[in-house]
Amino acid sequence: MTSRAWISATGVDTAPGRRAGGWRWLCLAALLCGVLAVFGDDYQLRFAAEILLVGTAVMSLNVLVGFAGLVSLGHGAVFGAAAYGAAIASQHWGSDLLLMLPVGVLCGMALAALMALVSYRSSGLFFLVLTLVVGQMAWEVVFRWREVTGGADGLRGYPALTVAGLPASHPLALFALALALAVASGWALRTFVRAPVGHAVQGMRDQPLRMRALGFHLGRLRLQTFLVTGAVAGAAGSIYPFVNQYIGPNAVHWSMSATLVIMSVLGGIATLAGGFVGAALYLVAQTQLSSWTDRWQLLIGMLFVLTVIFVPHGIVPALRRRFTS
Amino acid sequence: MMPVLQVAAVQKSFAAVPVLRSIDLEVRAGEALGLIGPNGAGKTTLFNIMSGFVSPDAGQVRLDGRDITRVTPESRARLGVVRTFQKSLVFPTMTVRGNVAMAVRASASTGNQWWRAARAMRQADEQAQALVEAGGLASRADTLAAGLSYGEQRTLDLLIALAQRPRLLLLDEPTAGLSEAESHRLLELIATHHADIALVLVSHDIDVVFRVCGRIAVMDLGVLIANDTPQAIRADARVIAAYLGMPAPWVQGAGS
Repeated sequence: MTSRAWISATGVDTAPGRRAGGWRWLCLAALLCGVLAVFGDDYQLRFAAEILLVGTAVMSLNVLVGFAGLVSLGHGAVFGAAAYGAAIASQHWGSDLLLMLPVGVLCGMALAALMALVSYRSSGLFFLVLTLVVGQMAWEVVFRWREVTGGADGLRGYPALTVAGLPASHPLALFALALALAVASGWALRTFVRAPVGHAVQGMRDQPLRMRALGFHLGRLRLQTFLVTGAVAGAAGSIYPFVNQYIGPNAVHWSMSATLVIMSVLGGIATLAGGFVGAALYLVAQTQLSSWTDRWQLLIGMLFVLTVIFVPHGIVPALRRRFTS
Repeated sequence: MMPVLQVAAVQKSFAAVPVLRSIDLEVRAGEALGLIGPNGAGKTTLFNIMSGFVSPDAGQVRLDGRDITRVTPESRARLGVVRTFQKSLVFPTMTVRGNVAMAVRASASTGNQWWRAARAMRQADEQAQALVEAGGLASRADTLAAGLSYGEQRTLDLLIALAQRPRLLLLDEPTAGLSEAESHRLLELIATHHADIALVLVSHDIDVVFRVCGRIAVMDLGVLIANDTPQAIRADARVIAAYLGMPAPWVQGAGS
């Protein structure tokens, strides 16, 4: 049975006034970004750009998992494949964002579409395994196709990012680009989930049988959701290899997908902002803890368990409830 | 006048066990057909065949004369074949109005739009609001469907179906588990809306079927044993033997 807390955490079409206060959080986020842009050093700016890009991918996963009910273990591969696609393309055609972005979006959409088609009629555990398998196929290609992808060593030495010919490799430029992409992606996904198709996607999650009786084709709804979320994850992936001028096979590995799911759960799976909160929390914890102990994964595991116990629907829904009640 | 729904020589078996043996039925616009019979009679299978969720092994299903036997449930819904389910299937994370608006948009073919067209959304909301008010749920319009009582959820179930602008409305146990008052309100809602649509009602509540339906089809072991007016059905010996049973002696005594 669906719990009340879950219901209040997952609906977009809810009682008026529930979303009041969203502007306060947006202002806080804008202030934080402003402070970072002015006072942040190069390392902090690159790290913030990474958080924003990974957070954008997690936000798109939130739409897939939280809004559509499609728990995918292949979304990391979508993000990573787009990153590889952009890095490889930059070696041949230059690394202008105007080219990298469409390359990343197309790579993301192509792999997401493949996942949608392979898992067309599956659900639950079978769906999870199929997305995992398709993701691992992508990893296998990346890992084995050494002459193109660099294999286990990954790729380095490709040109730095430019925007319409202007250099954009400075940490502040990367941060600004990642922020712009995060905002644009947030707006696009918000439009999607609030549009009729977004309501239909949530209907598919909650009452698939009723949706068929209403005349909705579930396979098409699934494919559309995969394409939209794949495009956003792909867009984020297209800038990712230029943050540290390196992309390795771990970005496509299933453990990356699992990490995105953990970030998603930490932030709140049926929220858009939760993607960034989850990514920030995970990456900051990872960075801080790994400099302190080798057993950082154990501590992150404990953080995850505590979150699931005390704020089972994630941090953003918990904050919302705290500040709207 | 051509029947809205024609079921012709429909047969269905599951694992070589015949469940439906050559069923013929017709329902016209404005007519309400009750489908009754003991458990295992094949009512639900026939219902699923009418709505397209199950394909028959043989026979035809026609809507307004058009063969829809192989048409998917999704496409049938767009043609006006609308059904409810035994269990209440509402959208728990949406408001009552949002639930009905989803069905309004589905029937207007705007349910898959990628943009939030303000005018279309407002129109759908207005139509939904009118239906919600007609269904007596006006005070609950902004409530999440998960917060409704069981009776209210059944009403919402019916409102969703009515919002699809049905040509043929298939209702599966709409009053099961409802109080008499709730049941009465739901039947009134059905009565006010089925004037120009064909209605098929499956129910174990004999009183409801006899009150709402102008014709009743009785099934037993996959066979249609009677298809007649309520008065004729009450007097049919095969129906009494298979399903209705004899009135208890004290009821007979009271009647005489």
